[in-house]
Amino acid sequence: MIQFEHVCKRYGKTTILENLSFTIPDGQFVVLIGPSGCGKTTTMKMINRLLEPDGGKVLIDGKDAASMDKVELRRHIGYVIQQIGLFPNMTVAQNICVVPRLLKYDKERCDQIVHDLLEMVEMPYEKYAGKYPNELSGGQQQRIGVLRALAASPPVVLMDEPFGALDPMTREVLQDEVKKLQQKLNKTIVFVTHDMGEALKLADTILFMNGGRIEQMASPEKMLENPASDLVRSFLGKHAPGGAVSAKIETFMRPNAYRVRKDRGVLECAEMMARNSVDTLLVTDEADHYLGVVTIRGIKLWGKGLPNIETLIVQTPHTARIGDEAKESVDYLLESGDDYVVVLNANDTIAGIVTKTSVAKSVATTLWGDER
Amino acid sequence: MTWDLILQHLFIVLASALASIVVGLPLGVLAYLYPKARTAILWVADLLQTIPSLALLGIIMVVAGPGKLTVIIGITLYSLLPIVRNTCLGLQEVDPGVKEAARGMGMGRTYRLLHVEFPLAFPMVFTGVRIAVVNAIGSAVFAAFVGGGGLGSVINRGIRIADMGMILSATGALMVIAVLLDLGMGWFEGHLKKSHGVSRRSGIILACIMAAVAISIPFGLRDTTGESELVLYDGDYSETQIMDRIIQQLVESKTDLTVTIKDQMSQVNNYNALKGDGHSCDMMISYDGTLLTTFLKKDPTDVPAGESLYDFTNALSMEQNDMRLLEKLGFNNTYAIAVPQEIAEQYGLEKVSDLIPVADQLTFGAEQEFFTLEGSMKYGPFTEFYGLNFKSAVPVDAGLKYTAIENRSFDVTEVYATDGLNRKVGLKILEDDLHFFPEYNGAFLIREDTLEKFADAAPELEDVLNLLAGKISNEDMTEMTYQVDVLGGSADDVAREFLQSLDLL
Amino acid sequence: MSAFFASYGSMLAQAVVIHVLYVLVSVAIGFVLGLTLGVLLSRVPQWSGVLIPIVSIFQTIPGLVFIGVLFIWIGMQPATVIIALSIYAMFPVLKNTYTGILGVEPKYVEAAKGCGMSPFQTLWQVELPLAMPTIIAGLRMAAIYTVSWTVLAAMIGLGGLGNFVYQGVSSNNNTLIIAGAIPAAILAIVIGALIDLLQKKVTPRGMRREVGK
Repeated sequence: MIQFEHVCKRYGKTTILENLSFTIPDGQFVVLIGPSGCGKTTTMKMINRLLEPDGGKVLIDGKDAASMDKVELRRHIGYVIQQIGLFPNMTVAQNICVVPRLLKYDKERCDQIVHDLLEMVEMPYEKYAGKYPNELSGGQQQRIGVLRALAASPPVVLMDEPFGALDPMTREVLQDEVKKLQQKLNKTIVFVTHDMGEALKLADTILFMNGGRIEQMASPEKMLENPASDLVRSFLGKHAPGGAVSAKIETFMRPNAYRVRKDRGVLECAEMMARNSVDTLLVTDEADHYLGVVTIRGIKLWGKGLPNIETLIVQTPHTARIGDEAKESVDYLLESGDDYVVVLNANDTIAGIVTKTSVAKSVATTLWGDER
Repeated sequence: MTWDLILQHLFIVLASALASIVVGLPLGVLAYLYPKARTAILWVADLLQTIPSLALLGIIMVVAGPGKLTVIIGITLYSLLPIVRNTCLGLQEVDPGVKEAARGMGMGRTYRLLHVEFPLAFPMVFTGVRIAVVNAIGSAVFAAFVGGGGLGSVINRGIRIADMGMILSATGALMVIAVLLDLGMGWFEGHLKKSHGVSRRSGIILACIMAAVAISIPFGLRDTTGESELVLYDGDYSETQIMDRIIQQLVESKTDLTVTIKDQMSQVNNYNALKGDGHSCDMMISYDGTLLTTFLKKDPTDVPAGESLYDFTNALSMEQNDMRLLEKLGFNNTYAIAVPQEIAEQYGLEKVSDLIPVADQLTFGAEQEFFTLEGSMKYGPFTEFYGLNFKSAVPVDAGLKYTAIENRSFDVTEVYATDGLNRKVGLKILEDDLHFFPEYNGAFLIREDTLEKFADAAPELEDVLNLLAGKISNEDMTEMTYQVDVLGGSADDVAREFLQSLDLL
Repeated sequence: MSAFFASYGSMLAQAVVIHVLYVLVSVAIGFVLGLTLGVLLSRVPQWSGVLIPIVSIFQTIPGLVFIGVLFIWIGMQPATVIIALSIYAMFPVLKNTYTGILGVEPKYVEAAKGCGMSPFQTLWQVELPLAMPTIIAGLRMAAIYTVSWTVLAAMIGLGGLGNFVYQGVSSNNNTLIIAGAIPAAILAIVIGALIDLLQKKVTPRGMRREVGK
């Protein structure tokens, strides 16, 4: 368990951290995030005492870190840095075993560690153990960087923007690997990033910092649901549902609904439904004003012999207008079991419809971007 | 130490810097353009660095003769490595993007080199020049060994007479020069780095400095002798220095000639500068024994019976080089074997033969020259002649001999009979009872054409110089060198007092 | 040529041996001193602004002066030459050790610290190995210059190849100058080549590409 109690840090006259208090329980994946200069890296470096607080305490398992031997402390906390920092004069195996050797593990045990760890990231021992860092790709290097931090099985691992320098593909693969490793080995991981996507993906708890203080500390779900401030919201950006703009009904609306005039023939309409695989058509008058819907069920029951569909029109219990809050309609969809909600423009013409599918689609788009 | 010596030193440094830039830059560019040549060029430049300074200067002296030219060539060769290497490296390190852009714009090879690559590489090149110049300040000290002048002569003299103040003040001057030049160039370098390459203004400043140095080279290397100017080289020990002043004062007061005393040179170098068609001085003070053995490479045994060494040598010199000795001045600065007073008393030594029974308890030390295998006036023949078997023998620098025997680094040494330091250190001169050493009669060695050249300006020159014939005894000379080396008198004053005592001034 | 070797051969051999001994001893002492001082200086880089220029200034003092002054103080003994040469050999090693260590990228030092290396371990396992190519380059410079400066030993009667050079220069004998200069140059080249070999040995495979540039 890592506890910060009223921690302060200043460089000259600038205050970096102000009265910072929080607790990280064991086995948690905590991501520190915030705008640059918010103090997230400073906070992290206080855990392994690369930096010392000017006030307050950092407690590790209840003990004041300041009272522990710095070097000893660091050997029991894994550390991964953005620039990777594999020692170029050492092989992969030697790099992984830096900390075990510092802890005077014997040679066989070191070898075993290298074996096990390389296996875990699917880099065969025979092929990679004897290589030097400059013979590896960037992604491979940082894998080794992570393994180096894990080698002595430290209960806590600190990661300082470890994937910041990697290309998006590799980054994603490594994120998955780290998340898997964390769950498997049950480590406490403190992870600094400025990428909200990464934070949402990895974190059990996100610690959002700003100006040396905690803006919000919450699980990704809670943070998405309930951003504590506009700054957090803007960081969440496209990841967040229910933002000021995205809360409107049109976000979830599909504009191209099938519509017909009220003077159309019954058969014509039935054919149109069959052609487009829908069971409902929206009906308008000559001026395109919305009148209601016809359903395939209505046509089947009463449609025989009718000249047109006018008499088959039924009103829907819930319509929405452009500019309405989406929540009501979405709630209606989820609760009523209806398949759609019709959205009207201010002049009663049809703007589009909202269906469960269109809601799901636009949620997906906002969460993961347009490429999905 | 005078401003003159400092300026000389600075001149050597700057002239060699200029020369090494002129040679080194094209070599560096060549090394950059042709990777095959690169290995060879850098290897040679590297190799030059490994040759000891003194040896390199010695070898160059064979070709270029003693003097500043030798020093400048030598230091130029030493300075090549940093300049060539930095030029090549600087060009190599120009951003490949820039090079490609230049090529893409259709610039030719030469244009690209001159207008894009070289200006960008210039700060690096300049760093090389800076390294070369600072190193040159130290190397230029060796100029003194090959008659190149500069502060090295002060240091040599300081070491010879164990005058710490003199050594340190000359060294201090060197350090000040080094620091000032380094700071100046460092400032310029910083300026270059800030302006990312050579700007027009800094280029102009640099060109002006280089032009100024280039213009000064002919003056600094001036070797020609004027119409009514008698040119001498200064000696590298007091006796020759005093004699040069005596010549200067005597000739200038009795004739219309002016006498110029140039850089210090050893006897050997002075002789090389005197002989031949490309001579750069008109006469020198020397000794008949030296002329015969060291200069003409003969042996006293070559002198036919009945003929004096002086006459034989003179005839030989006239025949070979058109130079002759004027009349003997009176002092016989022969080699002498000397021991400290205590040793003399301890073993009861009066003459060289007395050393025979005790030699195996004593260490012999003398300057390197005394130990060469060529020539008969040397350690080997000497010990053989007397049957001496010393415990060991140590060759030291001539300048350090007296300090060494004072510290009792050795017990017996060979000295010049008239050296004032003999008295200072308290050496007892042992009588050469078996007459091993020939005479070394002091005499002026003059080119025959010198006398012809001044036939109009100073027809009486030979007579004036001969006014001193037989006038300077061994005691006189010892006293004078003692005045200079031990009491710290200036050679000028000592010479003047002596001439006045003879009523020649 | 053969006549020369007949008369000077054994002297030359002896001179080479003495020369090599002076070089080895002085460079060894100078290397240890330079390495130690360079490491110490790298611990207090804020002093380097003062100390490095002082070192550079001292480097401009000609060896001639140094040997001359030491000779006057402590006399004609091998210690004089060895002290002077060691100090000269020290300068390039000191400078290169300092710049080499400061040139180690901060990320490696941070990684080392983060791994829990003590300052000494960081120095020994990370900073020194990474600075080693630069340090060895300093050693190479020191060794080559020392071969050249050892000629000055002859100035104070301590032998070596300088004897030939001095005798040659003072008696106008070119054969002797060359007899001193060529073995000295060969010696320098051989020592340089040996150190290049050492350089390859101490450079881990993982760093060779960078050094080769």
